[in-house]
Parts: sequence; structure tokens; C-alpha cells
Amino acid sequence: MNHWYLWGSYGVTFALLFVELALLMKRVRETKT
Amino acid sequence: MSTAIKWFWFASPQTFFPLAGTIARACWIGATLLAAAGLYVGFFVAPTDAQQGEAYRIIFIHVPAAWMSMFLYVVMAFWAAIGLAFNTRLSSMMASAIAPTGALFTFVALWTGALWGRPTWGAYWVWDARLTSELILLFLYLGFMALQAAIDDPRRADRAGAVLAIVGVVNVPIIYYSVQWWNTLHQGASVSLTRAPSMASTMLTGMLLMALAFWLYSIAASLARVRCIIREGG
Repeated sequence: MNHWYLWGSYGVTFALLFVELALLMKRVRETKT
Repeated sequence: MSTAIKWFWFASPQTFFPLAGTIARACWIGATLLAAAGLYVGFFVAPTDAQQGEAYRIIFIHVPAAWMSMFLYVVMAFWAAIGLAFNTRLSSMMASAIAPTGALFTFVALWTGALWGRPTWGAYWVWDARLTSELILLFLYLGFMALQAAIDDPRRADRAGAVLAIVGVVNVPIIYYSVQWWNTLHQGASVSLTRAPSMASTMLTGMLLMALAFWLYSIAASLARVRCIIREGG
């Protein structure tokens, strides 16, 4: 049961960091053109 | 040519732009390497906790995220204040660029805290002084971004955002000292500048590596975002 809390924490954290990165990369591409 | 002249040289968005790109690239690499090292230490070197089992490993992202949430707010308010005092566009752009990353780390601190609270306290959330003041920090970040987005004129948006950011700084010491000022469910600081840490050295190493990784990530993300803001014309 403890593993759900652990992976829920790490999973959401890194998912959010990757979402921020993806949005940043999209914004970089859009502002280049 | 003195150092002071160099500072003013880089205060111009046009001259800061290539420097920000170089620093951001180095920080992306550093953040990736440090996060890999921190996760390795956190999962494979640090021992299992006798009382909490594996759930305590949430500490390796919860504490660094909470530190970054407070640190980024102070840095954001600093740049917003410099922009307000000296009318320097780049300072205000920096404040705008830091806010989303600060909000993200604040949410991560709250989320991981909730998932750590359930197995240790028996509750995802309590209206404890530390948790409530951290939630207010998230609202301050969101309020800053919403306020800036709601005003079309960039100069007016900068000034309005700066006032909110500066007033909100009072919340940061409240978050930090809340565990001392009030009786809270949240534990006190395990790491302090004034005394020895109250945790195993491998746990501390993993936590500090992740804190450095998050710090470099924040610099890289903020600089990449400020480059976009410069390109968009502020």
C-alpha cells in the first residue's frame, strides 16, 4: 500500500515537470517563427 | 571597463538573450545528471526507514520542492521589486518567467505532502499552519500570473504584479517558522544552517542532490521562458 503513495508522488512530480518542459519547447518553437 | 558596466550591459534583453541560452543549456545538463544521482542515492543507497518503510522516500522530492517553492517566490519578488523600483523591463520579465515554475514546485510540495501525510498521519490534508501557509503560497503564485495575464499593457501588468509579489513575501517566513510558532502536525526542520542534520547522511545526500537538481531545473526553465518572453516582445 505504501508503494502507491511513493509512486503517486514521483509519477505526478515527473509528469508535471515533463509537461512544463513540453509546453516550454512548444513556446520556444512558436516564438522562433 | 568596470564590472558595474558589464551588469548594465546584461540588463538589456537583447544582450541577455544569448547569455540566458548558454546558462540554460548548462543547467539542463546539470539538472539531469544531479537528478539521476539523487534518485540513485534515494532509491538504492539510502536505507529503508525503520518506522515509515518505503514511504519516507517521498522526502527526496517533497523537501526539495518545498524549498524551491519558497526560494523561487523570494527570487520572483526580488526581480519584481527591482523592476518596480528601477523600471527595468528585464527584471519584470524574469519575475514573470519564474512564477509558473514556482507554482509547479508549490503544487508538487503540497501533492507529495498529501501522499506522505496519508500513511504517516492518517490524513491527506489537515488545516495545519505549515500546510495552510503553503497553500496560500500557491494562491499567491496563481494570483500573480492571473493578474499579469489580465492586464494588456505590459508595464502596468508588471507594476500590479510586483505589488502583489512584494506583499506576498511576508508569507515565506510564516511558512518557514510555522512549525515553531504554532503547534503543528507537520514535523520541524530536519536540516538547518545552525545545527547538525537529524537524519542519516545517505538520506541527506540524496535530498541535497535532488534539491540541487530542482534548483538547476528552475534556473534552466526560467531562463528558457524569459527568452520566449523577450522574443514575444515582453
